[in-house]
Amino acid sequence: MRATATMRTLGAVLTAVGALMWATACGGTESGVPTATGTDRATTERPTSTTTEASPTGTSEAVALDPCTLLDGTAINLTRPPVRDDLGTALSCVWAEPGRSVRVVFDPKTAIGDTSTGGASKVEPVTIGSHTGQRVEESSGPGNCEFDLALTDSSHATVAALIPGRTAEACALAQQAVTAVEPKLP
Amino acid sequence: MPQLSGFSGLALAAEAGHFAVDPVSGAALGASIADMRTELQIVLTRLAQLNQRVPLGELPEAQHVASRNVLVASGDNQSAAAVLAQFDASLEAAERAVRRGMSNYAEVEADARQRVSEA
Repeated sequence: MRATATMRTLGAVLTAVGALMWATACGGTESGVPTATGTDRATTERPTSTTTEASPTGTSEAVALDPCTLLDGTAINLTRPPVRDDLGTALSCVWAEPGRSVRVVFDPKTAIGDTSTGGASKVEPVTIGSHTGQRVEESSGPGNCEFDLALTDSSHATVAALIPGRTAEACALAQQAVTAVEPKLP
Repeated sequence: MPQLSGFSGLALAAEAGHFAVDPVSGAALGASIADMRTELQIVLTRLAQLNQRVPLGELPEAQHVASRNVLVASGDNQSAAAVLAQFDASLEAAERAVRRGMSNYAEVEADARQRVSEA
């Protein structure tokens, strides 16, 4: 049938256009995303082994954590595999799907008091399990909500959710995620 | 077939019944768009971490640069976050258009079968 053939051809053309746009948007043939830090797809894949270091001997050191092992995404309905996405000294892992994401960060070199909350609309102290910290809303605009938990005098973990434009939903998602992550923190 | 300009045009065409796509191609298109939106969400998540106000110092110049950085990243409708959010909205519209296109295709197929059986 001619109409059917035309539709199938259109489908194939749109697929090709989509693929071309995708390649163009990513700046190359790799399926990863551009990064400002030079961290590329090859290094953002979920690692197969967990980094291990000596156990902390005091309150000024923290065990190096693989953030991708701290959360089971399916528990919060984020079923796609996590992506390792370190930024600077912070070890970071992202669970994402269209329109929503959760980031878990382990920063071994930044005390919770040194985290930036400059543009936040709301900052309040929280206690999650055995950890104390702060809940920060909209530190980077509407739809962003995060929990920062102190680990040692010089390290902290962050669990953040992003649902663009929907801060309340992001906070609910971040609350779910931090509740799941906190028991695994040192 | 109307001239299609961008995903909004595609959505309009689908709503008007002028765009149809078979189930296999539609599923492939839908999966590709979902992948794109997921990668876009990762970029937005990274941007959210990057665009927090950087503590550059108390000097007026430092304060200005810190404010300017936030403005460029997420401060207004021309910021990176705003543009990416608009792109995501376009992709979401494309997802809806593909779903509608698949529905249109099924309707055309059903109509064709009906005509053949009546002939």
